[in-house]
Amino acid sequence: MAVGRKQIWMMTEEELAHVKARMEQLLIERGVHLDHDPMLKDLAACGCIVDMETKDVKFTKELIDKAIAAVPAEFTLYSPSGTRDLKFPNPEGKFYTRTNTGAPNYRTVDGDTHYVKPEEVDEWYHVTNAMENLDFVTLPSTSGEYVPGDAVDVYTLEKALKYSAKHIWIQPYEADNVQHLIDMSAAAVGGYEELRKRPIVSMIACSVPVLTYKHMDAEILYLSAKYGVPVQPCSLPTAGANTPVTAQGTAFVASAEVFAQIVMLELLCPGLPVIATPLLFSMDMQSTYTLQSNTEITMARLMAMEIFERGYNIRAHSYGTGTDSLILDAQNFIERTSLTQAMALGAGSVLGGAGQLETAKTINPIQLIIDNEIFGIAQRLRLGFDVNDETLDWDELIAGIDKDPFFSYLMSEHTFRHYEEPHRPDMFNRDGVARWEMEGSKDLLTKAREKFDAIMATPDTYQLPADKAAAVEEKLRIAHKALVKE
Amino acid sequence: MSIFNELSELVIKGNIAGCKAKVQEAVDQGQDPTAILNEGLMPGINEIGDRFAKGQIFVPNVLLSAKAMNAGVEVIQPLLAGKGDTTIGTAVVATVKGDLHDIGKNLVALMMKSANLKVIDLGANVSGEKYIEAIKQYNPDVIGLSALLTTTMNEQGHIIQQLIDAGVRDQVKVMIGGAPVTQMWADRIGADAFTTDAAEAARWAKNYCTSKA
Repeated sequence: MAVGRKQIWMMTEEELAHVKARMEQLLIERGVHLDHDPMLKDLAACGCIVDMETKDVKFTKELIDKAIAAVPAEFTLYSPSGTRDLKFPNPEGKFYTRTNTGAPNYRTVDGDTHYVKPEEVDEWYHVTNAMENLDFVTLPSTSGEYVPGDAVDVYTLEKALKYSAKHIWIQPYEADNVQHLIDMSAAAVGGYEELRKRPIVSMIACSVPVLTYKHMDAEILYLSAKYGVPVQPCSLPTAGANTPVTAQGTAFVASAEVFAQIVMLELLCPGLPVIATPLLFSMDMQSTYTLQSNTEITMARLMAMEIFERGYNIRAHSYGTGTDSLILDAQNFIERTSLTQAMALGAGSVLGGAGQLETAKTINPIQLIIDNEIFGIAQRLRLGFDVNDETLDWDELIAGIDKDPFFSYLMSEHTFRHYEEPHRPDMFNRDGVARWEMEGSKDLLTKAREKFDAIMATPDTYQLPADKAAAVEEKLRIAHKALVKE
Repeated sequence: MSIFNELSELVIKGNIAGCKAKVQEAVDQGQDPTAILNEGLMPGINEIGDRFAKGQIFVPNVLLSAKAMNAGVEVIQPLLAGKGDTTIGTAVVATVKGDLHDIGKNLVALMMKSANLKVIDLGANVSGEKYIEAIKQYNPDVIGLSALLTTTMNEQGHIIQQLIDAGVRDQVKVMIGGAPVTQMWADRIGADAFTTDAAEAARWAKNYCTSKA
């Protein structure tokens, strides 16, 4: 299908230039706070202005320009299976999608909600492997009740490496765990050099607003740069709580925090693949709850995507689905569909959050299956369409072929050329009441449950080869010995 | 309108400068400082608490009103010396060891201050030992243990056990909160209170402190 993409811009060119200039000014005049001595030393060696006492770093305009010039314009995030490698920019003009990260709760298909169990991680990857509109996965936050609390991330990564056919985005939970997570990932592909060449994982590193990087996240940046592991650096501000209450102010701070991480990464490892990932929230000024889906924050996400994609030609990633609703109700689907569609028409290269509800605190396979459907619609919107004589059907219209009393558009050559183009969501009703009732009067949730059951009844499509799985298990044993305080 | 009613209105409106000036005016008129506090400032902040509980106003309204009240209290504080603390109780709050997330804890501290509690904020990543030191030093009525992660919520239970081992558990009420925390978890680890948000935490602490008095 030809790409005739239409796009929402949140800023004028003047506003974008102003934001870029202010963002760089912030890094030059205020700088960042980074709790990581070896990284501070390396940044000083790169020319940054580093105060080892206060652990503050400032950058020059020249360094910023040099770093940004080093960001690769094209790169690939690889998949363990080799079947879902993700080329950036997306050659088809689409966005990529990923599952929610960080949720402590799992809601089963029967509606029971509890902390994530290991067997549910298996179930999750079985479902994610089957989702055609889902491109990469994260680590569900397995509870410390079921695996050692000091090593939740390494235990969950073991499962991801063994069972996910798709690229894995890793969120480490402890500074000491980062090396082990990289060791396990390298074991899954046959070594560190192979991981550098074919990164099947990428990392999450997060700032603490404003412009602070605690030791764990600095360690993630540092080791990712060392081993050439791609990073999707994040900022997760909450407007009105730890960043300015305005959507614009929060988009600005989050972008600056992500921008600083990219600058540091590219100074330490020029050419490292990065995807700017501002994940914005806001605080409800009545309930004080953190919200994922308020309207202004959707606009802030669009603005942040634009800062990177349009302002710096750096690929960007943010929430593309999600809800503040606690259940699979109308609010849920209004929020996530409007968010997805707005983001699809924006500039982002990756839309995340699939499968989540309750402001990203709970994941649910039924929700994931429905998000897969929504993403399909949004991808169609993203692609847009061409407007020309062929798509207008000019030749047939000007020839007046419809004047033939036996003519039907069903039989026109133009229809034969284009009838397959409309997007058809897999589970949506497109029939009348009579047939719907005959087939059991099923609503979307019922159909999603049936799809889930069908997926789980089918053997999983992917498993890491046994030799690699054994290598991963060996690294897990080493990690356990090093990390778990018995 | 009496000067006390005017003071209440200024607190409700969050008029910091106006409240300070009006308290000074009341003092200059020879009004009793205790009456200024109890009949002027407190009814205002209590009204704000009620309105917030009913969902009629926003958090910043509460914080502004608290600021206005505090500005007034500063004026009469020297005159109240010897009559005791004007706050209704003391709370020690922190995010537990291993957890650096502090938005929720900061909100709880702000809302508790707005409810006229004295708040000792120990920060984030705080160990049981530091809580015990703070209990011995500040003799709080309540302590708040915040955790955002399933990996760090266990620390809430560890800290409660440390309080028991140190013999200070019965001196304080233990409140817990955080995204993964539930009443079931509170029951399991022996916490006295689980609240779902900062405002409820402040209300619980206020009710407990005033019921003690």
